[in-house]
Amino acid sequence: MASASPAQVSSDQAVTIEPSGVLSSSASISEFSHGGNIISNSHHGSSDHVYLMEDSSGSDGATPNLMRSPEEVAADAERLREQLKKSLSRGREPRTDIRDIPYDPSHEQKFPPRQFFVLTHAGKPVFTNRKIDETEGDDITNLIGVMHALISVFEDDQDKIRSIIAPPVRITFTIRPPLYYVCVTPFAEPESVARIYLEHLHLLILSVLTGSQLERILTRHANYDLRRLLSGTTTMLESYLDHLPRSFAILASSLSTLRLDSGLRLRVADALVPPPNMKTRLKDILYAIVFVDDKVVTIARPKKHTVHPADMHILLATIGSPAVKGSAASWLPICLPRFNSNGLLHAYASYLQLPSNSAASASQPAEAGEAPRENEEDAALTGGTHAPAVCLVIVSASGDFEVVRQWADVATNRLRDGETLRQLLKAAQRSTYSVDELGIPGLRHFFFKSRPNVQVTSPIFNGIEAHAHDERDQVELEDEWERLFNLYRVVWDAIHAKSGQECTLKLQYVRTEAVSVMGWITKSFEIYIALSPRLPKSAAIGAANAVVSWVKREEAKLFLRDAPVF
Amino acid sequence: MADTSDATQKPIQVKLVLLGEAAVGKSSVVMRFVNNEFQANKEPTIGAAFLTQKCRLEDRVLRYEIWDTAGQERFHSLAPMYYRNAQAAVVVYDITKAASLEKAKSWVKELQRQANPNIVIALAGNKLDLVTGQASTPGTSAAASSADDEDEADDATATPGETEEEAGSESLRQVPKDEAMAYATEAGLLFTEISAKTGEGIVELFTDIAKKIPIEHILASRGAAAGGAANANRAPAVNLNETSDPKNACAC
Repeated sequence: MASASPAQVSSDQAVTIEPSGVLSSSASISEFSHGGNIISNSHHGSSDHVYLMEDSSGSDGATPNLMRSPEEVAADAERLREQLKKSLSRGREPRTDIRDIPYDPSHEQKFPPRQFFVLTHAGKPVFTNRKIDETEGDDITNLIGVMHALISVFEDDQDKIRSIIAPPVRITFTIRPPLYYVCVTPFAEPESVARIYLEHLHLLILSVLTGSQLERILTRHANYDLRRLLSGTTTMLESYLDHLPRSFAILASSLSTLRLDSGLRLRVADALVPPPNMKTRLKDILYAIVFVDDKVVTIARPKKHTVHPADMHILLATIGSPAVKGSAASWLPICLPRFNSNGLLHAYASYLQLPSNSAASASQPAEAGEAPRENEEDAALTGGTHAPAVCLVIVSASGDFEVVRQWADVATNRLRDGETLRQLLKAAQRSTYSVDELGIPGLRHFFFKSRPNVQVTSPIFNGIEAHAHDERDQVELEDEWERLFNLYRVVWDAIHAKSGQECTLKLQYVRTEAVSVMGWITKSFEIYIALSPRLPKSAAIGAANAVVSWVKREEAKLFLRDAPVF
Repeated sequence: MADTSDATQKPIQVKLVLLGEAAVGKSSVVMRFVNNEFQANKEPTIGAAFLTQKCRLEDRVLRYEIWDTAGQERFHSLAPMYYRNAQAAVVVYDITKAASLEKAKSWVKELQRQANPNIVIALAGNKLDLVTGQASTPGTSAAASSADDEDEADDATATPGETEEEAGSESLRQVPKDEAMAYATEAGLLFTEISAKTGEGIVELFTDIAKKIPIEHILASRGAAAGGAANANRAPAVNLNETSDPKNACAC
């Protein structure tokens, strides 16, 4: 067991991890998967204790069947509690540390699909993305039962279960009464990251059913089946869960910005500022935003409102759902939980189409509702699978659609008239950049977060391992991306001391056979770079500095800095 | 009909709302009407989608402003926001699902109680394509024969599973046409059975509504609103220009 934990390295100290160490310690971890499960809880504050849980006396006995009598269930719970006490008293096992990160492209190391579960405090299933296996029958009901029993047993002792470590997976619990969230993620992924997933899942559910609504329903009817109220949201929840592990912006709790000429960004912003004669009627407006795909172009807002990145990601998940994309304009109720988790807002969302050059634009380009007919005509211009989608979103606290629509029409016309929309679409197609553009030797990929702007930028991913320019198929590329991203996650976790490390780090350097990753945080930025493993440590610092100065030069294009306020 | 010349030139805006249980095909009906498209496995609507489509009658043009609402239970409380000031409503049910007619009836009740008193309500039984080939009810032989015609055309495109057995498709119908029609007559609604998939009856549905809209009242109230002396009875209900009353905001 590699117990001298490099995660406790003091600030500024660089750590090198050799692949050999990785293999040996991950092998020692996997021993536990036969012996039983390891449970860690936060009972003793920030330093997580890890316990071994025996699996001997038959987990069947501890599986509560919902059909049993209350006495039987209580007896089960009691047995489970004793079982846990026995296991917890077995003493502490050392926590896993950064040496346990497996990074082995040659090995068939596949990330198992992440599974998410939501249940009510009464143990009723709410949502899962686990695919139901026909042969296993009522598998999910049983799983939910076990989860509920585990959570309850700890709750009875005024404790909270945090996670179960069972390589190759980690089971993480988040309690957000009246709902419980559980996810099963790859063991290599830090627990803090799993918590971010669960928190975002919670926020997305709140965006559909506000906190007060949940509270009201489940207080009144503890056994209420929330699936009824969530019907129709499965696709949105599932695609958001697919998106979560791929988004650095979400991990870094920031916005992802479209790289754009600052003049063009300003013109888009100007189009969003309401005309003076409308201002008084728009007092209920929170934000007007232009997105291109999942990237922000600009956000106009009244002085008093700030933007929370998590709310923006929730908003993007909602407007990105096929139902909204498929219609010319939508008017949808949404709760932005970071703004107010108990209140329902209204969002106008319209995917903007170019005005056609023919009759349609001459007759009535003013109407947002005319868009569906223009769809066809502009299919050639904006169609295709990779065509950027420009979406205008206006969030209002009031349900008065007409006011918002009038403003949306004004903004849409301004965008179309000055060719701004056309230029934006063109620019969006060229907005991605390759790491080659920076011309930094050995640099394979990076993420940069501008802390004052709360925004991130990164080049497109072209592969990092060995021959960056070789032809490789999409699957290989995605596996590679998953492996690299996990290194980013681990470094992110260490830098922010999210897993009980003694203190935060300023810098961390991790080297594997295929790639080395360095994370570095200062007051004004946070950067994660992927480099050729042959590059010496000193060169890594140089490369990071070079990226930082490149970003500084390009800042006006990369980030949204002067969002209009009205 | 005493149309002003103005009416023939400028489309008259009519707010129309679609209501009904989830998955009865509201969005598909609108898609068929607006874009003449049909999309299988459509994702559920969130909140409401807003679309427009012109509808040409003999002597005038209507411009429908269509609110295609989501049918899920959680959106129910927001419905008044969508049907407020609507001149027309299409309440959709699924003829292969008896419960959806019950939901439709409760929507009709709510509209008659709370919506604009002059609202034109149409009850539409969707998914006719699933039961074509079957003489829907006795006494509607004309409709049945036209359905037979549809059937021939339909067979070419329909999926095998749906047309495999005539008996199978007949048994899919859960709402007899005469039952729904009797209810519609009693409640004073327009009634039709339609198929968003084949397009059968869609344009007719919207045209029939257009014919029943009290255009004169809309025009009159427009004039009255401009003159500042609204017809006390009608104006609040049919005034289309009422766009800027922030006090009148969220009805939920």
